[in-house]
Amino acid sequence: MLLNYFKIAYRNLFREKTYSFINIFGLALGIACTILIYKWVQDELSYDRFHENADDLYVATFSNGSTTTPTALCEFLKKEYLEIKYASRCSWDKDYMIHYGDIKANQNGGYLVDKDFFSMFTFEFVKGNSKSALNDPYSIVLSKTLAKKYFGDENPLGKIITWNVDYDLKVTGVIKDYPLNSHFDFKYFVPLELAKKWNRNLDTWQANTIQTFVQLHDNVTSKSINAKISDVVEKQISRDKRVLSLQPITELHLYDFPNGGGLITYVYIFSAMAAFILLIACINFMNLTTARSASRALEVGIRKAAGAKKSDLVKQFFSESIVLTLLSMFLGLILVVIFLPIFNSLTNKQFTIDFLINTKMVLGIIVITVITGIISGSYPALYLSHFQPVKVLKGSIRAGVKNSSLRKILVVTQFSISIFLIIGSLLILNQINFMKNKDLGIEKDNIIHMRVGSRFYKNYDLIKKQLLDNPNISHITLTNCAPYYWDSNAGLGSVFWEGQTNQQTRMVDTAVEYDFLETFNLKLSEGRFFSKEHSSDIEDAYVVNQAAIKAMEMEFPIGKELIISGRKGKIIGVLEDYNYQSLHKPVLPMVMSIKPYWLTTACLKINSHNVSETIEFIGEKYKEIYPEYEFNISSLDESIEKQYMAEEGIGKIFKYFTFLAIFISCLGLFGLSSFTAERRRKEIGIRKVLGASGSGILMLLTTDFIKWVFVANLIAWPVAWYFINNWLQAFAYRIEINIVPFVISGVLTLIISVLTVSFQTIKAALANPVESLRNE
Amino acid sequence: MIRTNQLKKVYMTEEVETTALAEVNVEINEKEFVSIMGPSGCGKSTLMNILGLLDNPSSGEYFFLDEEVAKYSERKRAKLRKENIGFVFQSFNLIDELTVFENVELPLLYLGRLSSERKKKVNEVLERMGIMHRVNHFPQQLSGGQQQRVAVARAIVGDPKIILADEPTGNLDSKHGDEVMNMLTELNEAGTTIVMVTHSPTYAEYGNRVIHLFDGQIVTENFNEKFYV
Repeated sequence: MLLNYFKIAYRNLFREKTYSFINIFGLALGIACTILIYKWVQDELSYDRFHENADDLYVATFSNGSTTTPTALCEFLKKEYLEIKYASRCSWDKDYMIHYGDIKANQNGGYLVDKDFFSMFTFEFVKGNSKSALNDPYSIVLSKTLAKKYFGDENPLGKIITWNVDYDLKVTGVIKDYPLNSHFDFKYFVPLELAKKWNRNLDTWQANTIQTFVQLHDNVTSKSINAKISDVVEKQISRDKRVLSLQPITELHLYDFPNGGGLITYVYIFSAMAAFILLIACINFMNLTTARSASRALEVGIRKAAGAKKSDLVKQFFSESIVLTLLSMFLGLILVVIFLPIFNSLTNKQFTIDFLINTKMVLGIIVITVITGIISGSYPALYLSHFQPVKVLKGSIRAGVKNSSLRKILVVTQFSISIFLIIGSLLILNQINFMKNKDLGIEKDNIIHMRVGSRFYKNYDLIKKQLLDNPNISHITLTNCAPYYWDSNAGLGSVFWEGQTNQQTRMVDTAVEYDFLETFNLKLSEGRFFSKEHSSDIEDAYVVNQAAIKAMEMEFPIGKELIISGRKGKIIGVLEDYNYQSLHKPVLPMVMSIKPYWLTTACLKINSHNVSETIEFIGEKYKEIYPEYEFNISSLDESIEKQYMAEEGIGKIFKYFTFLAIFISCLGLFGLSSFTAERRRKEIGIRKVLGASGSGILMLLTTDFIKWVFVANLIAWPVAWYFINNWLQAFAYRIEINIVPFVISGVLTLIISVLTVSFQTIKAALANPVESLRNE
Repeated sequence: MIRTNQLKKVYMTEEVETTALAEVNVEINEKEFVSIMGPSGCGKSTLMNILGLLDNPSSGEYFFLDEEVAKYSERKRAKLRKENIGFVFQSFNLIDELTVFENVELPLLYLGRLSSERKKKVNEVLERMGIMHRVNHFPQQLSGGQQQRVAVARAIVGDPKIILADEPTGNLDSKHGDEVMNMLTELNEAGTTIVMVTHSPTYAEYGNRVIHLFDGQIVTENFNEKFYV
């Protein structure tokens, strides 16, 4: 019997090639999209879950979202709270020079950590011992790739390498390369103890410079300990009112602390998108199958007359839809394999085909397929099987007339989703372009920046003169870091001021040099900038931005006294606000001063011509000062654009999947319109006999579809507005939602649907009327 | 009114070439009532389709109102058709989704008549056909005879010069068949040219001329004497 079902299924497949193609190909596309998105979602959710103690690992976080803590915090927490099993500090990701034999290069991913670190986080030691690897301050643990780079096939253990120019370290361990699905980018580790050698204070509450990780005992919840540690920093530094809490490391990647949101939003968005696309494909399947039901009605009648029970027929139609979904699944898997490289480049991931073999994935795919099969098969199975034999044999059931309202609802749903996605893509792209092109209030074109050190600053006047002698370099200035991400890399200093009445106690504390204003073409709203003519500027002058003045509620700021992180000074000027962080954030209060030992980034304004020669020239100068370092340079506008990489990637994915969703919808519409044209063939014939013109027939057949698209717009617009508006709230600077993208999406869907439908109906409209009537 | 010269229609299928009409010469004058008879597959319907401008001949000439239309495009034929020809089919060919009124109204819509005029005209025709009481019903709610009366109403609502009826009584019992034939006769007497295909010798006699077709060729043409006494 089963064989008979499959035979019928197989023959139907070939008899109605167009329908079969639309069904299988549409579903395959849907399944392929779903698998890819599922993989992406799974990957995002897996971040940092691979640590054996993942659920017990936390990072100390302040209420403003900062994880940069005092160096003394770690030891204090470990000593005072029994709930904490391990604790380790960890420096921020940094490039250090590593030198061994002939190889001398800057390596990123270098971290300074405490001994507990390897007990907390899971690293697989290929060589060496995780327990003892960091015992000696002069040791280093390398990733396999780094070890291979420096030592080739030699055994790296015990070898001495030169690190950060001045330190000879012994390789005490080699770890397997750290997985990509982590918030961190660990490549090699050096004991934090070593930092004492360059007089770094590792036991102070005065400066926030390092991250603090803790591992709680199994039975301890973060909630119970958060209640106890909330004011530990304030107890030490009374003016620091920030609340301390522990944030799970597994949330670092997905959630923006403390306000929520972050990547998790996109995980939800894309999960919904995958569901939508699969739904669209399923709707195609259901629509086409029910539409064709009348042509199967006779078969149902005959089978029932021959003794088939309703359940037999349900089984038959389910097996047909399962056959189709299985075929679609295989085709879908082939599509996944074909499109994986493109998907990887879109998402900046490095997924390999292997992920399809993973048990979870196989299970996921099977579940997707079965669900698809059941959903898409259920309506036809239940609908067709209840046909009464007498009626169908007498021919009183007409081709899919009865359930046309269901079909309308399904098509409207499809189009609503497509329109929603188009509006979403347009607005996301608008927002990204807006961020890229917004006037930040700071010169960003033709500015390059590079990291420098004390050697550079000591001879700064001479170097500056030499550089400016090149006609292609117009300005040079120094700062603590390139002025587009002054937040995490600039410190947050606690502030006190003359006549203080409110609690605004922290500002972004930055260091600049005399030429900063001119180089970046910034504007002062009051007072003056730092000047060499005022010799005391280097000691006690502050320039603040308007946001700071507003936060301090100062009416006449010039000359007012300011104390920042213990340094006393006077306000000499007020800068007009400019965006010195990504546009996710508003302009926060910021203060500038001249602190020579902070000036580790050089910014140069160059001519837009002869760029490569100019950079070569700068490189030569750099090598004269730092012969042992690599010369690395970045352009400011590229660095700024990079901040929106996440949004850009997401915008791209959104765009492509929107296109696919529309394409699958159109496949269905194509099938449905050809079905409608066929069903109304007789009517078309009669109308033509009575004098209807081709264009009249075209109108007749397309009006319905146009109506549906119109209704779909009515549904999609408010929904899209609601969701996009919510999404935009994450940006301090955002576009105004206007009607244009909505109208565009409406018109676009209308054009696409009319074209799709016309393709079939033009054929019907142009045919000789006698063709339509002959078969009657 | 209608004149054909060496009219030929050949159907091509994948392997076989079938000649449906072979060099047919026929002339029909205004106000004539012509019956066409012949066995199944002799080419009656093909001839009707070509005469009715629903299809083009493969070769030969066709003069409709003194216009050579054999090679006209569908668009041009559609225009001639709606202005001059009314059709009545064996299977009625009413549109199931439209009511009686809407079905009859259709030709007027395509002729671009005003709504008030359409209403007046449709009601007048339905009255004449005696189915005014069914005006808001759908075709499936009517008997065969009633459906055919609606079809005839639709055929004449645009005041065509000629009515082509393809076995108009084929699906009707004799009572309803007679009714339809009487209606056609009345129309003919009022001045409308009628060409009718039929299997029934009795009904063929309603015409003033009977053309016999066989294997795509005209074999005999009889003039009905009662019209010529």
